[in-house]
Amino acid sequence: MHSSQFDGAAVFSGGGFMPSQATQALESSFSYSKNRDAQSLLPLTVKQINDAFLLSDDKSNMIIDGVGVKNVTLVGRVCNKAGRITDVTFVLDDGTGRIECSKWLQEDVDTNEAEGIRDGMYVRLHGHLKGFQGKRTLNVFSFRCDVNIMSKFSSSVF
Amino acid sequence: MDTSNPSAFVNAELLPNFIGKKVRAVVQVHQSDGGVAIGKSTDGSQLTVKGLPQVPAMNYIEVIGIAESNQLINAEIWTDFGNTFDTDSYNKLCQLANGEFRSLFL
Repeated sequence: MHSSQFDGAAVFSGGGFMPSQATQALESSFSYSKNRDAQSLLPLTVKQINDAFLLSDDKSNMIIDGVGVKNVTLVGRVCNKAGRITDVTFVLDDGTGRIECSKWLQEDVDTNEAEGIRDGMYVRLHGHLKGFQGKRTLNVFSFRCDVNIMSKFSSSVF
Repeated sequence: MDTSNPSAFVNAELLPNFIGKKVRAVVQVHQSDGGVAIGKSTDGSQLTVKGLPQVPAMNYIEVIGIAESNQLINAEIWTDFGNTFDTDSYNKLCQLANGEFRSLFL
């Protein structure tokens, strides 16, 4: 009985919070990612990234083997690790070159994981290539120690 | 990003192409004493490595350093890969990284 007497407009008309069109507007402006290629994950060497960077006119949109480079996976040795409270940075050396990497530490689990990386370790990284002030760095979202040591040689040719 | 100082994947056969340059190789250590180790390359030849600490005999060690002669590497960095290692795959990688897919590496 009570529910039938409920009048939303009357309840909300007193000022303060008003249900508005905002939620609908948000829905209509939301769009799904258009292109699967934009999400591809490329196994690369640092040399390939460097070559593509030097060749491309549009530094924010590199292409390697006809594919736009967004997410990449690399394997190499960790050097010059520097841990801070909010992020960890290090240089990855895969034998073909060195690239600066950084990972933001948002959760406790990230911090614990980051403490596990030490200089000299081999790791596999998944990350997002970012250009910043003319430098190309790798924004890491996942890294792990290579349990199977041979998989580090799968980076590009296998 | 810096690709000015790469270390080439080598086996004993490819080592002479990089004298004076930085290389990396996996060596199965047979004998090691006082900083000099003698071992087997992934293509089955004997290699000598200077600058290695005492490592367990028969372990596979990756060395990164300067190629001093046809059979000698002066190690700067080394990693112990343990006593099981797929030398055939690594050897194939050395060949591909210096042959068909050289442009991806050097």
